[in-house]
Amino acid sequence: MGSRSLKSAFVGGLTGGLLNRSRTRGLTVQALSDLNFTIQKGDRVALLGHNGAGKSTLLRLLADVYAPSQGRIWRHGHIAPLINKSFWVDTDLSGRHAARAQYLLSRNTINGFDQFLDQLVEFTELADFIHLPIRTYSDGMKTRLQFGLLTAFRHEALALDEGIGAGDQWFLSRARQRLSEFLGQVGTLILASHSIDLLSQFCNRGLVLNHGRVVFDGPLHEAFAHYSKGVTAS
Amino acid sequence: MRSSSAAEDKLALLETAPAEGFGFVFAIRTARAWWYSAWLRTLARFSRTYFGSFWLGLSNLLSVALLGAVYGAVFNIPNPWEYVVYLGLGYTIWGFISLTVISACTLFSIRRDQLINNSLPAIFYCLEEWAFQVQTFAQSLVIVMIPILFIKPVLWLHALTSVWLPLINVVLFCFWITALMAVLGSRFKDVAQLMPILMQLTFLLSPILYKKEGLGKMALIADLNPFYRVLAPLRTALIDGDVYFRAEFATLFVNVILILIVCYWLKRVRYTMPFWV
Repeated sequence: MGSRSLKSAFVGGLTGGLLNRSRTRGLTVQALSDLNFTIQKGDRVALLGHNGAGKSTLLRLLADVYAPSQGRIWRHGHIAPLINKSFWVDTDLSGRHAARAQYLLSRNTINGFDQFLDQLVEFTELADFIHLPIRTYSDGMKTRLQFGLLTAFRHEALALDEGIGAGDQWFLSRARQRLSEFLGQVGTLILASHSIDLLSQFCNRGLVLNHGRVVFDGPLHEAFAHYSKGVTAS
Repeated sequence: MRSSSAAEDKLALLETAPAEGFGFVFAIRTARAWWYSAWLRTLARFSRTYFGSFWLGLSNLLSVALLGAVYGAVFNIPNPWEYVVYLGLGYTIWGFISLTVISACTLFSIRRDQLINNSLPAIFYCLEEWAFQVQTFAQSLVIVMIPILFIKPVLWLHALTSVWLPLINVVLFCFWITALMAVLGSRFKDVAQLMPILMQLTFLLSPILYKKEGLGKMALIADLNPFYRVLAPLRTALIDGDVYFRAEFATLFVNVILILIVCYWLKRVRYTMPFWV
């Protein structure tokens, strides 16, 4: 489904949709179909599949960004999506502004922000750079700030896309522990990634997607085997 | 020197408090977030300028001064200072309404990344955009009111006493028009092209540069113009201190109903919106 032009809406309206029915419906892509599974509280699910298999779409469905065109999803509790890794604010603004905006969005209060900022500055080693515009940061400094902000909040359930573990040398030495602590404290985790290392560390169940369908749902090591077989075959 | 693990331990995980709901309750719960986010947009916009957000009022003031001088001469106005006050207030309020309509048309397209990557209800983006326009308007109005203080000081008395109900109506009007145009602009891409032209025409057809009496038999054009219908009472309240309470309460009622309708509409199109942008 896509946006429409006023012309096609007008012509469609006048002719009862007969003249341009196919045009107004636009290009339809069926990203997912025939999904039927349950994720229990405390499950740690790995989403596996080639590019375009529907992993990100499924994460958005689970996190209430999209709604299914058919069928239903029953959610008990809030599933936080962690898909977008860009800053909420303009990069002409400072790291402090970015931190404050993220804090308000996550907690709806400013109480405790100063203490949070002190801890964030110490963790990211940004020192006085926190007061400078983000556009003046090096790539490594931006990554540290993003990572610090994304992993600062505890979530009941998390739908996480890959990429959060990627970064510079700083990640290898310091952030691995932080990521482990962050994901370790998530109640329920749905993690989409191609990294077997990352998935092995945090997940115990695997869902393999192929062309929008779940072709395997079971223990993680079996899911890896299933996925590897598919990759080899293709 | 602290060890790295000690530093990691110090950034404790904080509990999140995701706001529930879609409409009024959600708006209240997330008020600080969208208000602050809107303020950051103003900061970002003027972050590398010398005058900062002062530009908002300065550009408005310059336009009023030039238009006042030219049209005061064209219309052969007997009292040019009164005309400048009339024009200055009308032009500033029109700027608020017009910018709100035009910016809202591309709101969701610009915020596409956020819209498809987090589960914030669409109303959050409308509230943020609306707050940004309200903040811009507040600054413009205050800066225009400063020279007016020397021309007609009684206006400040009116600004503190008579203006509240018409002001609330303009502000509420701008909220539902933001939500309406944001959805229409996402659904029909032509709307973003059409509205700047339409608003320019509406500006010329509205008694802002000239008095309504000048329209004569064509005064119906102004009466049927919804933008002018919310603009005129605020301008009158500021200049003359007159408030027509019956009309204002009726407008307030209509605004509240329309806000409820657009909130419901936003809720309905919430899941289709990511596919439109």
